[in-house]
Amino acid sequence: MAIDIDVTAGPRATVVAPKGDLDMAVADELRRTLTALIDGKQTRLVIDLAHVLYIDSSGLGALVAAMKHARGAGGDIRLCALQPDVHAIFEMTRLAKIMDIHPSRPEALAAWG
Amino acid sequence: MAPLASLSMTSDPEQLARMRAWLWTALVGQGLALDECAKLLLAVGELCNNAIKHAYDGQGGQPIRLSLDADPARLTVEVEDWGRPFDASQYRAPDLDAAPEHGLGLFLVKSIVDEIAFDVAREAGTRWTLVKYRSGDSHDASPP
Repeated sequence: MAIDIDVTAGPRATVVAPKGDLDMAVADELRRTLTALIDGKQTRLVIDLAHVLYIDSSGLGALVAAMKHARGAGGDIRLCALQPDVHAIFEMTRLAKIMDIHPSRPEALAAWG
Repeated sequence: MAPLASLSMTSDPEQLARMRAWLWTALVGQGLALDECAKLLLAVGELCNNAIKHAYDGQGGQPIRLSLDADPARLTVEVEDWGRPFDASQYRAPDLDAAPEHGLGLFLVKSIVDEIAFDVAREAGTRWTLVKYRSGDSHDASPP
């Protein structure tokens, strides 16, 4: 199953904006997309979740894997614009403390200075 | 007595969106707060994920059946599969401080619902029963 993912490379970081539900049907594709970017030396990623209304453990796993991969390559991922229900899942799993989460895309980009 | 609503789906990840649409409509119709609907949607989704991944080892086309029942005090959702039964002795709670990539599904279910039970004393598979009390009366779910 395909998911719509916008990717925009910028001077500070590459912005990745998936659209739709991040569930088991699309988690592998998301994981592959993020891995390919990091392996392609785009190790600073901003993942804009403004258009994601649902995420399950598969989607979380894809984001965590990308975080670990990016950090291993000297970069990181920053999440932004989480919808309240999605943010609640990050709080529930304590990922809100481990992952870098910002209210908006500009703030996430600015965090890289 | 027949449940309020029921759905038959197959163990194909592409069917999860259809399941969520069905469950969302059914839950909202029961007067549950929207954020509670969203969490229960996730809990049920995680059990469906586990049926696909673990009960059926990723094999598509296998049956998963869901039902929803409601009374003034609670909502009850059942998720049934006919694959490999859940083995509680193999369950390990995730180490949340280690940011696990896997194993969060059942943890999320337990965090969301007020009661959780499973039945493997049957010919095949597992029947999970999730209970969510209507707001104003919640408990921690007991472990499987």
